[in-house]
Amino acid sequence: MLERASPLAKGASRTVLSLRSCGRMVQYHAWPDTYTEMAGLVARTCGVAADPAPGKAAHGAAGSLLRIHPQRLWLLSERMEAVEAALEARVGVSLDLSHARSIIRVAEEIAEPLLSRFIAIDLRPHRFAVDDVAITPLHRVSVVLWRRPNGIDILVPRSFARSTWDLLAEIAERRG
Amino acid sequence: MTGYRLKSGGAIDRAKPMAFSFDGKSLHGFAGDTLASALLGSGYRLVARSFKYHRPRGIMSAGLEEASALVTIGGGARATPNSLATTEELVDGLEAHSQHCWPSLRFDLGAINQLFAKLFSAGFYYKTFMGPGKSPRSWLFYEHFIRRAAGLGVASRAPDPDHYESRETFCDLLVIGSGPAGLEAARIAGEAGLDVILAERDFRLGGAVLHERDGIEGMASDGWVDQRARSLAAAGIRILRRTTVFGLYDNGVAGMVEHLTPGARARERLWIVRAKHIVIAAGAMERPLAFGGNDLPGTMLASAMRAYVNRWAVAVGSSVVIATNNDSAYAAACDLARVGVSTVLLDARTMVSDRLKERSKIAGVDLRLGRVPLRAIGRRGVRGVEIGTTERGGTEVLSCDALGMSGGWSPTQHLLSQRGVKPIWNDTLAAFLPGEAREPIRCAGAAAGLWSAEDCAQSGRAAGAEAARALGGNAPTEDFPAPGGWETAIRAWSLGPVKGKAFVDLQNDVTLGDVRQACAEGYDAPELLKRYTTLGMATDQGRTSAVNALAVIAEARGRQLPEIGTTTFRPPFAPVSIGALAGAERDQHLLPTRRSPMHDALTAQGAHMLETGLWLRPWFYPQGAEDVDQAYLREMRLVREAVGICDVSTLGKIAVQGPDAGELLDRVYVNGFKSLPVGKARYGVMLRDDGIVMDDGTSWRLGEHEYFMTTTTAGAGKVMAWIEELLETRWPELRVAVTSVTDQWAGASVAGPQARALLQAVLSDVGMTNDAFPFMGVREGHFGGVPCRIARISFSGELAYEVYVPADHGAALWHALLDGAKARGGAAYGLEALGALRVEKGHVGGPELDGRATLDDLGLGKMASTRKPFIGGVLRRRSDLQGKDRPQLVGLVPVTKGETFKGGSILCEAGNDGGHGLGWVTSVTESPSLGHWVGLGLLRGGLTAWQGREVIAADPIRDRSTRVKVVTPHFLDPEGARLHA
Repeated sequence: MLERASPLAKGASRTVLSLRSCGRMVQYHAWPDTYTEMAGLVARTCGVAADPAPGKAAHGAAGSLLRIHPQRLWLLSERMEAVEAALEARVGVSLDLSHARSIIRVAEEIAEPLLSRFIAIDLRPHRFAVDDVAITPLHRVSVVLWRRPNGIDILVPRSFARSTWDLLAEIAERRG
Repeated sequence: MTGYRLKSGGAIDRAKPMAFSFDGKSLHGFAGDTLASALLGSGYRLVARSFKYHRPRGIMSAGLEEASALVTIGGGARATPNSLATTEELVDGLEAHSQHCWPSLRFDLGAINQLFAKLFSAGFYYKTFMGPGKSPRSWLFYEHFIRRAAGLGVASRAPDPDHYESRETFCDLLVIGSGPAGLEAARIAGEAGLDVILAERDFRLGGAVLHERDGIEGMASDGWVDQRARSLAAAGIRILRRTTVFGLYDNGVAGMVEHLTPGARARERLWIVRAKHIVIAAGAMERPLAFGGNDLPGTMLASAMRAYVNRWAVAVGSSVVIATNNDSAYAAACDLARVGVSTVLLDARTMVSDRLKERSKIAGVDLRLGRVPLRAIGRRGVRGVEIGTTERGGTEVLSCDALGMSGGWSPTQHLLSQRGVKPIWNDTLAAFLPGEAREPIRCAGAAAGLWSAEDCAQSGRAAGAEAARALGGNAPTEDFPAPGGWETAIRAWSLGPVKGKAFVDLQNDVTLGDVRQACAEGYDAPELLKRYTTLGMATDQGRTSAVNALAVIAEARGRQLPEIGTTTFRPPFAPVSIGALAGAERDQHLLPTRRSPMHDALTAQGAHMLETGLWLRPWFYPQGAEDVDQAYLREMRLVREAVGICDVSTLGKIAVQGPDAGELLDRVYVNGFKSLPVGKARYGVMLRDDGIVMDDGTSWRLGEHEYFMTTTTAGAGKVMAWIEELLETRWPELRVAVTSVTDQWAGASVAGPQARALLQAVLSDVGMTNDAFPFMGVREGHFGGVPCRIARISFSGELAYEVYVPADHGAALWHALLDGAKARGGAAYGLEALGALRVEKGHVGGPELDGRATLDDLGLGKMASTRKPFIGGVLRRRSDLQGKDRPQLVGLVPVTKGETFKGGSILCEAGNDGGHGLGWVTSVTESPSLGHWVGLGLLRGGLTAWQGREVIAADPIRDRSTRVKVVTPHFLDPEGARLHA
């Protein structure tokens, strides 16, 4: 099996920024009248107690579920062999997006001051708390933000990952 | 005598001298100075030349309302023209230059314009260079000279070496201004638990309180401000000094620019604040008076004189005359007299309160009631003033070296005006007061027409409490004081006779006579007057001139001032640098860049990359010293003769899933897809609603409920957004999900006679024979253990496949294919060869899909299904789109074999190569297979009218014409033998 390659040039790293692949990422899409059924099925399969509310993430044995759309859930898992829910077309469809996004982690100490240069969301911890999720443009690129216990993860389309990284790294470096 | 620094007093730090230069001369001021206060303290009066007449100008204010003292700060690439000397914080090493003068500020040849002042009256350009009977070339010719003769400073053309930042932030309450109203509003709201931001343009908090000598609420001004600042800090209020709010927008959004101190990591910071509530406590601006020579250096607003003496310990002269029509100038006169300046106060009113008279007397002010200035006397600065009574009698000349003026006050409500709130004229105060906002925005302090510091503080407390209660906080109800605060009513506008040039707008050199003339010529509405005379334009945006101009219009029309109306102030309230707006989004970060998963592999191979939209794509792969023309022809030959590989990861890719996936594709494509068997691909074209071709590509059926749609690289975003819109708005009943998977898959095209053999070696579990994998077939297999999908489709006309693997494995796929290609005599090919191959084959591409062509124009009309409806299917039948003489796709070859022709050439009949011609050349290439150039074009009447005939490909820009023959666009292998091989 081939090893996965990073969208960044080799050797690029910063102490306050890191980049990794999604591991396993699956999108579940329900029809307008089947969301509850689909979300319940997906949550059970992934070991999540309850499917997440809009703009939230929830965690289970198979990974984390992110509610990023009225009819969509994303399953993210560090493991490639993550358990996946099998959906009947009547209920919804699933789609592998494991390579579509890269994850840039911005360390907590710099997350709000760095990202507030580009993002019109109140990222202060009491407003954008752990496991809050939002879709927003970052330098004209649609990204998903996910507050983690030690920083903010930016799920950026892979083709934009290096450009986004370069921008954030340059600004972070200027801040010392 | 000119201005001088007092031996004591002021809020400057005399222990910290600051060296600076003006026009190359070394000077010094102190920490806490502005450039203006340091220049005045150094004895400077002449600091600028005026916009149109190049008249000598000095410093007329102490703040943002400055209309005259515009200078250039810094040099070289950092030069910032049109900076206000009055707001520029003095820092060690500051370098300032006068602008718009030559050869020097003192002797400016441009001053010759004053001799032609009568010519340059209102509407000069329009009357002289435009309109009936004037040649259109006239203005174009003279404009260059006029712009050189008139204007402001000149910006550097060098790239800006500084960095700029931007910040988005949020708060409950944004307080604009830190005078007594702003400080109290912030304090009360902060203590009630609100999240407050206080923005102050100045580098010190306090606003007009800093100019007070009398103190506020029983405390010295400095002490009161310091105490409040400590309270704000204790309440956790975010205080932004040196920060100008330049615009208020929908939903409580405010735009602000923070000027950072030298040595900071950026020069300026743009703030976008989203506030639930806003308090505007931006103070008020004093208006000048209109009398002859009211622009001479040494003339100044009375409040500015007071500010300089109290805050900066600078006396603007040793002998001062101040003219006023209201109470406020009395404080200025008294403060000047107290520091030993000989002060005469002219009050246009004949009656004032006994208290004011007594106060003047005690301070030693020579008070003269019922007197007005008629004309300032002097050449490069004030030497005296001719005064008279309001009834035009009893003229007298007073000697002085500074002349103050106070024509009343205008509350600063530009920001409120930006929100569409109309101001309300108050006759008693002779001022526009803020109207009621429909949004949670409140004016407080002098911005609401309150003239005493105590009233301002009280209104701030009321505004802060109001905001706190509105946002669920606990704060007691406070009363808003009534506007006003003077003991004797202002004597509005009319001051009697005027001698000489009296300026209404100092920055734009618009005189009283200009305004009256414009009114006489019919330009007597504020917006018309502004454009006819330039009044209220440029950096000051009519801050000091607007009300005075309205009063002149009212007088000229015989109407009351409120009947005249006002102009609407628009953002920005103060100039904002382009650098601040751009922030970090410049140079390589101007736009984000998209890179293919194979990017590093391509560049390592020596690919010359080309920006196509946001993508970087391989243009060509030079060998040795090859240029693009040599490289792409070699790459084409390799594809035709062996095998070539090309990165096609940038093509748009959309997963279409669900029970109604086929139905969706049937509706968006002109041809049918619902009946496409699993394991097959089909070329499709989609139209816009209006019947014009929008995009094309192939869609692959991967399963019963799943398709893989590809689009052009350029059309990917547009198509995705279009389909999402259709599903959201027109067909919500369809059970189908569309998701962009462009980033999920890396793709390569493998084309050429050796393509099958190459893929057979790389993909061991996919049957590649013609029977097992026919043309337009789709297969799934594995590459290096990871799943991949392959379709046998061709853009080049060769036996060709597209192979996709998950993006992180794209580079590995590329290396494997490249090794295999090289082993078979092939190589990689780039965008140039890709485009040339499709021209040889006669496939349409971006140049032909230009947003004007129809299916029939492109020879694809037969693709349109007659058995199902599709987007654009009705409107494509419009008679205009069905005309036989529409430009239609044709092939073009030069009549003389060795000749070349250019894309973009106009196709004309021989002997008639003028005008718009009959069509145009869309794409051309040299064809190594055919041995001559070939091209595609859109020609009126198409092949039906022109096949076999000659036309001229005219290239008027390069003055070239080539005879070309119209042929079928399928130049190479029209039977398709190669791609079916």
